[in-house]
Amino acid sequence: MVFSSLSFLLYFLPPVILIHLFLPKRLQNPFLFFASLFFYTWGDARFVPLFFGLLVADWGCGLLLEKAEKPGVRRCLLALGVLANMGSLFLFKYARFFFDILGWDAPASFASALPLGISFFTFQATGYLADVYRKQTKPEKNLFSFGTFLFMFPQLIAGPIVRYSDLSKALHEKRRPEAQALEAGMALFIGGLAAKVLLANPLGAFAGEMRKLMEADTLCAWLYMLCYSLQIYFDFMGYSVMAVGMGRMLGFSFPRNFNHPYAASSVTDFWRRWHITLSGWFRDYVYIPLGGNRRCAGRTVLNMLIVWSLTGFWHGASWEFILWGLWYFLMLVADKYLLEQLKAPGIVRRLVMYVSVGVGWMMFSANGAENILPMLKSLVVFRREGHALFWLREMAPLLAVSALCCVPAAVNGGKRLVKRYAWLRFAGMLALLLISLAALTKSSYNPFLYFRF
Amino acid sequence: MKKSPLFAAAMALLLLLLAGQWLLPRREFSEMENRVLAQPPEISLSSLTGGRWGDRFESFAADQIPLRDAFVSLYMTAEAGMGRRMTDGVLRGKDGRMFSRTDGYSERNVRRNAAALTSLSQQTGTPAYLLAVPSAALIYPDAVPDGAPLADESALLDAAAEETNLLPLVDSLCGIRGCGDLYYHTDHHWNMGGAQAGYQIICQALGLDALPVDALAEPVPFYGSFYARCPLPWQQADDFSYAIVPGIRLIADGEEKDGLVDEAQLQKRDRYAALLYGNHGLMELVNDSLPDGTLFVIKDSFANALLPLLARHYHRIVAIDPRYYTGNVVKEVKTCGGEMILCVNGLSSLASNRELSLLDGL
Repeated sequence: MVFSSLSFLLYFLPPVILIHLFLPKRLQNPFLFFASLFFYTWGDARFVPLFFGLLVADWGCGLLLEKAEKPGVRRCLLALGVLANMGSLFLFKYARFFFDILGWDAPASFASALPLGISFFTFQATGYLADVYRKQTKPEKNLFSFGTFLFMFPQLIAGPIVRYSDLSKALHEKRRPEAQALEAGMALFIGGLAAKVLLANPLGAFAGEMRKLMEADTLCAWLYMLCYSLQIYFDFMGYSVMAVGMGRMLGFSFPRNFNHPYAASSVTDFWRRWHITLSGWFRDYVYIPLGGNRRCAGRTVLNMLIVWSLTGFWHGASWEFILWGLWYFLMLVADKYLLEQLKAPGIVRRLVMYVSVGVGWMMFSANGAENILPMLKSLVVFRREGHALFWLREMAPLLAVSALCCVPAAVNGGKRLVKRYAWLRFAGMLALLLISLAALTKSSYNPFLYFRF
Repeated sequence: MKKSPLFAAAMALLLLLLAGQWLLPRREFSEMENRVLAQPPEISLSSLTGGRWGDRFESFAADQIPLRDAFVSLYMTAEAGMGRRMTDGVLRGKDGRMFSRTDGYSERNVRRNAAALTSLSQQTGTPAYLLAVPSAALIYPDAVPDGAPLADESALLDAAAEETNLLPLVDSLCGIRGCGDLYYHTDHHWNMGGAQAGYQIICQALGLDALPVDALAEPVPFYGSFYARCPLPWQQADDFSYAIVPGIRLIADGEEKDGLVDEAQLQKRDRYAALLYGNHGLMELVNDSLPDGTLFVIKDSFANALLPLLARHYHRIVAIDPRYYTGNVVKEVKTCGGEMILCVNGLSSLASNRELSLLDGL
């Protein structure tokens, strides 16, 4: 089930939020756990054994880690837990890729669909085990509470990747969100839904059209880059904001996953604002344990290489994602050791950021590493085809609105306005909800890019 | 809830829609969109584990949402408000005219289908003619949005002319386009004006004396196939009318019909489907007032407005629609003893698929 579907909006969200609101404390976590299980298995119950297997393995490992005292045993337990999570991820997401590299025929079972959200919940579970191992957090003793942490539906399939310490307090107290939290949560949810349905979906449809024309027309290639860049942002940001909004309505406080990334001042800044919880995960569980930037410059660069190769690979089991990660490694090293050291003007660093991100999304969406160069070539080799201006005119208002929504000053100005006039916020949000429902009723184009990750 | 009005209102709205979905009567068909609406999917173990049940449920939830037509209209209004001139492949042009996007047309398909007609002519020893009806965009280019994704239909017709005997319809339509509408604004078909122009061209080619149309049915409002895909609330209806041709019997797929027009369908939105009771694999039009003369027709729905006019010249018209016809076309032509083969097809179907070339026997 996806948030931007009528099945979810009519059949799942209202009953779950309202029932949870009035349940006694002892029933809230079990209810949320089973609701999340229902959400996950809706219409596709193939991965229930994986769901329960990982739940028990991570929960058990956490408890044993607390009891074990010998460092060797603790290391073994951590390794076992990490192996369960990363092994599942490898098996379902990467095994086929390696079979292909080795030229072996992959077993038919590897061709089956990727379990939804596996990249997110395996990382969340691994982070939890690392925190328990480092004694930064106490393990969760109650299976339902742990299951609620790991598989809670708002953040189950697309993040944000939440740390146990962020949720442990709310998991153990009676959650009765105040009126203000319900109001703010619903506003966030509707805002995220509108970003996904009213911006990302039509941008995606335009991106699809431009993709077909980009080799014949240079303007179409640039429009493709623009549409896809905005689509992936509103798609993923919308989903994350919906998750945060639902968390608020359930009495949780999820971390922010995006902070106006296209207003970043450099590539480094971009990655502080884009998919913040994933960057934080790699920082806390890979980069810093490797030594971070506390050693020599060469070691820092090596650590960055490892982290960005893994970041790329996390996004998908194909070469274009690895190249995408390496591209960002190069651009981040250039930003850190060249532009920053040379004290390059802000405009230069910002320009480099836009080029890096734009080229990055071309690589990211290439659908095969062999398509990257032709796609990039289509940006710089001038060609003209008949329909480009028609498409530009078709999408111009949508592009303008989307671009405006990327500008912090515009978004914050809008927020100030609705704060001043409560009726405007009420009417505006209800209108957005109605138009989003209308779009879901009529439109057949409703993909979610981050599902494949 | 007083302190959280948005939360209360949004929840109430979603719950009302949910309740309405189960309490209100289910709709089988959307007249506005001209399509069957999804019903609740059945539950079985295999459907749940196959991953498709969720998709089917989503279709049901969307199709049976209360006030669906209002939601669809709201979405179309929002799209138009964002300056969109093309929705779901339908272009909105000047004067309320709608056009189909045609950039997916294939010259290869046109050539294959036209060559198949020539092949049929050679195999049966019967002369064949093609009346390929272009889209309204070719006849009314000034009404089309600038730079719209359209195929070069003139080039496609030239390609067809290289493969078979193409009747010069475009020149005729362009010559009379200022005298009145030839196509519906909200539908991809031509109207009676266009069909009559087609009839004149056929008569010239087949050496017939064109007869005047004695009576036209009283016009009724009509929202066509373009409107079904792009139902804007302010779109003006077309006037739908048809030629009243007495004395012709229609036998469609072996069943004799009551007249040439399906009166029940005339009460529904897709009035064009009333003509000749819609499309059939094999149909016959019999004119008992004439002793002889047989014409073999290969057709799609464009011919439905035209064939009653042509039926006044032949004792029998045998017509097949390649989309539904499953027999051997060569045998069919030989059996019916047609003097001529006439193919009346929209250029859209000739260019979008190759059904003519796939007919059994060719």
